[in-house]
Parts: sequence; structure tokens; C-alpha cells
Amino acid sequence: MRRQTGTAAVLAVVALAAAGCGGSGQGGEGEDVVLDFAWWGDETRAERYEQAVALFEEQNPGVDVRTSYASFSDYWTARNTEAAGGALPDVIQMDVAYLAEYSLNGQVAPLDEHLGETIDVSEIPESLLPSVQVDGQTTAIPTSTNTLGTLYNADTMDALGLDIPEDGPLSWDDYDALLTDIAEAGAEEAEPVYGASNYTTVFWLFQIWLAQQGKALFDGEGGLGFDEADLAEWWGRAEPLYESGAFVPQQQLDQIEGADAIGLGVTASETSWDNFLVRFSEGAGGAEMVMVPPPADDPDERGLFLKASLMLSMASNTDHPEEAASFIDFIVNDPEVGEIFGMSRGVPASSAALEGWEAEGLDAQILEYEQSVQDYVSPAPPPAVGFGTMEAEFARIAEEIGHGAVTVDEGVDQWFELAEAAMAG
Amino acid sequence: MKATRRLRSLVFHAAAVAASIVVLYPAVWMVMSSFKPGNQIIGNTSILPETWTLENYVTAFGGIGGVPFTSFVWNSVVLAVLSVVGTVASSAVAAYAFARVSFPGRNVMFAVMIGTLLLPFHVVIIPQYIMFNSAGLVNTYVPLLAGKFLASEAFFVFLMVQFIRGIPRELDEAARIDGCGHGRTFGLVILPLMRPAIITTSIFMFIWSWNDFLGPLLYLKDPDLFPLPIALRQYVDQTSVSDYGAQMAMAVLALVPVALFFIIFQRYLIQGVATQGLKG
Repeated sequence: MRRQTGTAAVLAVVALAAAGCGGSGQGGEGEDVVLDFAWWGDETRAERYEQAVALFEEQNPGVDVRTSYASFSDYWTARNTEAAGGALPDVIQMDVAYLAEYSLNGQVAPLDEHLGETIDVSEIPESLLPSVQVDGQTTAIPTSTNTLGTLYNADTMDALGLDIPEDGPLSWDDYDALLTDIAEAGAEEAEPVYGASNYTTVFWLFQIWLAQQGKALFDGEGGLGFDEADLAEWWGRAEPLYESGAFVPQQQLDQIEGADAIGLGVTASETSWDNFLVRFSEGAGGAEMVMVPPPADDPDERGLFLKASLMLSMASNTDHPEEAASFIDFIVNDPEVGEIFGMSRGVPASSAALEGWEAEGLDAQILEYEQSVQDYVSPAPPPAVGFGTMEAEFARIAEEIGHGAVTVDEGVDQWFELAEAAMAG
Repeated sequence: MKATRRLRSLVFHAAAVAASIVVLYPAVWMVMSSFKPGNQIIGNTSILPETWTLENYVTAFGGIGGVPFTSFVWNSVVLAVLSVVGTVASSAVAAYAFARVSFPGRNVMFAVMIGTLLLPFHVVIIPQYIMFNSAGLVNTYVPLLAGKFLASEAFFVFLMVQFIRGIPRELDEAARIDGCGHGRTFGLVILPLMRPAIITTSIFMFIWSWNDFLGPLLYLKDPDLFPLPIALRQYVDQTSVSDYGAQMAMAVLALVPVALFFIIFQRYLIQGVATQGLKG
């Protein structure tokens, strides 16, 4: 009898002790500097980062890099919690949607003192730098650049007997007319083909359209660079295209959420980031794609810009700023790292990362496209507070207009209201 | 008369079958999709794969970014087993105290404990994170398990309190006459009688821990420590290429243990619920 009670007590104690050592002894107090590095992405990116980190550790004995990753939204859930606790990893992958917020709250450190010393930015195009500066301080270094392109599914266009306009950009009206032609030809297919999904939902394409008229999303002084009439005109473009069947109905897009309409051949054209070429070609569906510049009424005023993407920032709570800075420099500039990643991050921002290796296949197609529009790109719009919210609401309201749930004018009013609240913080 | 009864039974069964098809469809879809090539999963409505492939399982077993698949399974098992042991041990002791020991402030403390049921987890995330972080316990299993060993799952404590209240006091009194104190009354009389409640608790705790996503996401940084739910999300990232096939395959593999666990213990679960209604 007594023995049994004893066993229960012992069990409880053992269990408690086991919980205590569940951590499997991470991060011993050695002499090595330990750098924590977090990023978002999928398993293929995980393998690439593993290789890059192994190279860095080899060249920097005494520095131990611990990586951690999650998908985009989970990544930001975890970072926001850590930021509130002042416990961000030393180096974090940063997105333009969060840069202004993290910088103004002092959660990521200004890197200016390391520029030109530990971090070499001489190989990064000047036009890219304003997009990583908040309040005049550089708080992130872009590893790569993206720009928008208009993609055509070559297989679908072939099947419909239509030509892909490869000589210079179409005017907006000509592009809309082409989408309507696609839809007319595609309606007779067993699985109807539409022109495109609603391009007016893309916040960044709106920036291009504005820039072609000499305007911009932001005025650079914390305000918006356009008014209600501009937005109403932009969103107004969608209505006739839904009527003519050029745009795929929103309900059908909802059904294939998670896959891409153009990859599946539901649409023949999309305007998207150039590095999505890989995803459209290799993801669900998978087809040959041709990428040309987005529409422009005046071929000399294309409004294109390079978007800094997959930036790296240093947490202001880091204990090892020197090592963190040299890690950032390594990931951004090292040609071997450039070769490991190829164009999977976009085109490397630093031309140093392109030296000594040749891009192949889809990578070469992306690189070629970005180089072909190089003469037409203007400086990227600066980061703004509330950008993430504005972009998300822009797409949501544009979709609701597509559903017919709100009119264009109501949508415009809604968006301006939300944007003002987002900018106020 | 007989004919109407037969008709009624037919209608009932037809409705039941129809309902279970609706309920089971997603699970069947998942299992079938795991045998489809990645590009046929989304946007393709047919249940049966056009071409069967085991490629997805090969990818899933291959692990992610150098961490083997078995590591994720092992981590999930460790977390689940320790959670079950901790919750059962600590909740049973706490429940005995609330149900049988009279101590000052018992009712207030009981009310406070029930109050924690109303507190959403999301409210305490940040303070909890700051606390564990300053104790240097982030990136270990301690933040995920400490609470389990301290009876912080009020739901189970409450469940056990109610169960113990249903056990006749005469049994305690008989034990006391035989010379037992609280320790032995609990260990020799109450605990063996609590078996149905303990099994119910174990099943729920196992499933909750097995499926927990937010806790591991926040507290674990090292991929070697990741349990299955985190690994599952690694295949799908909206900013790059998504491998839905491998995700489906891993989801099927992740469901096998929890399904087995449920099948083995479900009769106890039903028993546990049934006996809870009986008093004395």
C-alpha cells in the first residue's frame, strides 16, 4: 500500500524534472559568438540559407549562426511578439510593409555607421537606397530587387491563336482590348479562359500607373501623393472589363485560392512581380511564360521602379552588432551566396553577388527582363507607416468592387478613411 | 405499420450517410491529394488522382532544411507525452484539494481558477513571452510544459473536481477510519476511482498538444526542436513556390498517431462521459 503512493509521488517528481531538461541543452556558454537569424520562406529557401550559413561559419570561425524560419504570416506573428518583449533575433529578414513601423519604434537598428565599413553598399544601385531609409537613416539592406512585369501564358495564347505583344509596352486601352480578345476567343474552350484577374487590386501597379502621370503613392512627407479622383479612375477601369468577361469572376478566383490562375490556364495574362515567374512556371499548373513590361501610354514614361525585397535588418537589442553587420554584408554581397540563391529571391540587389556564375533557365529569363527595363526605372517609393494595412485594404476593397458589393465611389471613400487611420499609426 | 418503420429507418440511414459524406469529404480529399502530383492538387476537383505518385511521401520523409522527419515526430511525441503526464498529475492533485480539503480561501481560489477559463490565451501571450524570455527559457520546451505541470489547464481541474464531488464521501471516511491521511486517501481511494476522468483528460490533452501551433511558433526557434504542426506549414509560403503535395503527405502522416490514439481510447472516452452523469 505505502509502496504505491510512493510510486505516484516519484512519478510526479520525475515528470517535473523531465520538463526541466526538455530543452536539450541549446546554446552553451562557449566563447563563440552566437547570432540568431530569422527569415520567412519555404523549405527550398531553408536549404539555400543552410548552405549560405555554413559558408559564413566556415569563413568566420568563432561565429555560430542559429537560424529559424516560418511562413510569412507566422513569421510576423512571432517577430511582433518578440519585438514587444525586446527579444528580436540579431538579424531578421525584413519586408517593406513592416520597415517603417519597426524603424520608427526603434526595434531595428540604424546601419549607417556600418555602411562602407562592414557593409559594402557600393554595388547596390543608388536608386534603391531611398526605399530602405526611414527618417534619413538606413535600417535595412536589400538582398534583391523585384520589378513588375506582365506575364503571358504562352501555351494558352498559342492555343487561342493570339500573339503576345513583345515589342514595347501596350497602351492601357490596348492591353484592355487584348484581354477582351482573349476572353472572346477563350469562351469557346472546354474550360473557359479569361483575359486576366483584376489588375486594379494590385497596389504597386497603381503606383506605376500614377508614376506614368507624374504622381506617386506617397508624397515623401508622410502624406499620399494622389487624390480620390485618381483612385476612382483606376478602380473604374475594372467595371467594363468584368462586363466583357476579360476579368475572371472573383468567385472563380476564390475557388482556386492557393494556386495561381495563370499557372492553371484560367487566365492568359497577369501583372505580377518578376520573380513570381518561377512560381507560375513551376507551381500548381505550370506552363511556359513570357514576360514583357507592364502597359504604358507613353513608352518613355513607364513608371517602373525596383522594389527592394527580402531585406535584412539588425535588431536594436543585438549584443553583437559587428558580427551581425558582417553577416548581413555576406548574405548581400557574396557571389557564392548569390549562386546558391539564384533568382529565387529576385535579382540580387548587389551586382557583386552576380559575379562569377551564369544564370540559367527561368533565372536567366528574370535577369534578362530586369536588365531590359533598367533604363526605365525610377527611384523606388520610400517606405511609409501603415503601408501593410493600406496594401491589404486596397486589394480587399478592389475585390469587393469586383463582387459588386460596393460602388467605386463608396470604395474610394472607405479606402481613404482607412489609409488616414493607418498613417496616423 | 412495419412498412412505415422500415421507411423511417431507411430515411434516417440515408440522411446519416449523406451527413457523414459531407463530414468525411475533406479528410478523404486530403488523403487522396497526398497521392497526386503537386500541380494537380489545387484547381482540380476530382477525388481520385489521375496519376498516382508516392513522390510526396518521399519528400515528406526527406525532412526540411536538413532536419529529418523523425525529429519532428519525436518532438511532437515528447511534448504530447509530457503534457499528458504533467496535466494529469497536477490537475488530479489540485482537484482533490478543491473537492475534499477545506482550507481558507478555497472558494475564492476556485472562482479565480474558473475565471482563467474566460481569459483568452492571446491576452497573456506577450507578458508570458517577456517573462520566459528574461528567464532565458525561450527556445526550450519549458514554456510549453511548465504550465502543464502546475495545473494551469483550469478546464481539466474543473472536470476532475466535478468528478471527485460525485464520489461518495463515505469512502473517504472509511479510509480515514483505517488511518489514512489526505495523501493516502487520495492515492489509494480517489485516484483509482478517477480513472474515467483521467482518461478523458489524457485524450484531450494529447490531441491539444499534438495540434498546438501558436505556442511552439512563439517559443521554439531552433528547427531541431520544431514539432509537426510547425513543420507542416513549412511547405507552403505565399511568397515563394508552395509544395502542397508534400504538405498533404506530411499532414496524413501527422494525423496517423492522433487517429490511432483516438481509436484505441475512444471507448474509455465515451465511458468517461457516461459515468460522469452517475452520482454515487
